Amino acid sequence: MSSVANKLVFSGEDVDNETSLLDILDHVLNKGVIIHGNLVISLAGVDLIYLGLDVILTSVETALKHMRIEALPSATKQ
Amino acid sequence: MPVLAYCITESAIPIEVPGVGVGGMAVETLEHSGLRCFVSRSSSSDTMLGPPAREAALAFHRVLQEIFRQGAIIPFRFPTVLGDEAEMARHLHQHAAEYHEALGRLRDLVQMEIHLGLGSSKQSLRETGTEYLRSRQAQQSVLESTAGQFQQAGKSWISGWRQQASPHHIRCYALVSRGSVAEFERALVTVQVPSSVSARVSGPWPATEFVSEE
Repeated sequence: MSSVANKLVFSGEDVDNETSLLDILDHVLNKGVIIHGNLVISLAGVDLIYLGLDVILTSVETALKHMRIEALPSATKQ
Repeated sequence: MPVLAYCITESAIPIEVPGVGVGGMAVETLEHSGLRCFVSRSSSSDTMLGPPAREAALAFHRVLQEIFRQGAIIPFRFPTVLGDEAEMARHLHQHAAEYHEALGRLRDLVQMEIHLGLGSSKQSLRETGTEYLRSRQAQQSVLESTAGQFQQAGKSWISGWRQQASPHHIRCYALVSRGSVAEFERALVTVQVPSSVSARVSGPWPATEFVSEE
């Protein structure tokens, strides 16, 4: 739901609304606790990988892209 | 087994656990040091990170919202995946004091956000560097003044206020009681927003900007 009053827009929880969707994604990806450290995970077709969690949390799109292609820096491969 | 972490609440607060999380996984709870952490477990990280990022992030948000409606939460950023339950237990143990302090302080509070932005201003070709800087300074001043008006308008309901300024935007974070969100929003409508400024209010959100007291 969005409404306008005195040019003030109230952004609701409607994920079909582009502004609301951006707000939600901004919060999910940029707000909250960050755990620093390393992690061992496995992904299809890729062996165990160490990732800095602060890196993975910066951008999920980037993180997933890097996990799905062979673009990981050699230093992060085990 | 890897765990995807959603958020932390106080163990003492009864919360109904959401049924489904990211990738259709079950949402479960881990309790340590008087804290309850909501997680999904999966033997494969594919389940956690496999779905398209947007859908996974929205599923994560839905879990947070369902828990947040019932009480104060400290969310993890998506995707926070820990190697196993023991790793999460260690994290909760190490940070228990901070989490207890924050959850106790924010128990009945939510975060409302006001995003103030400037329309695109065209720089004149004949404008000198000094004129440009003065113009930017004036625009920033308008944004700050508008932020001040919003803070003033909502002051009866605001128990905490923070601002973050960037070149063309100011984000204002107001800490408001859960039960006062509607009144707070009505108070904001009284502010006359300058024509050069766009203003957008969103929330209620978990009070992430106020987890730390600094």
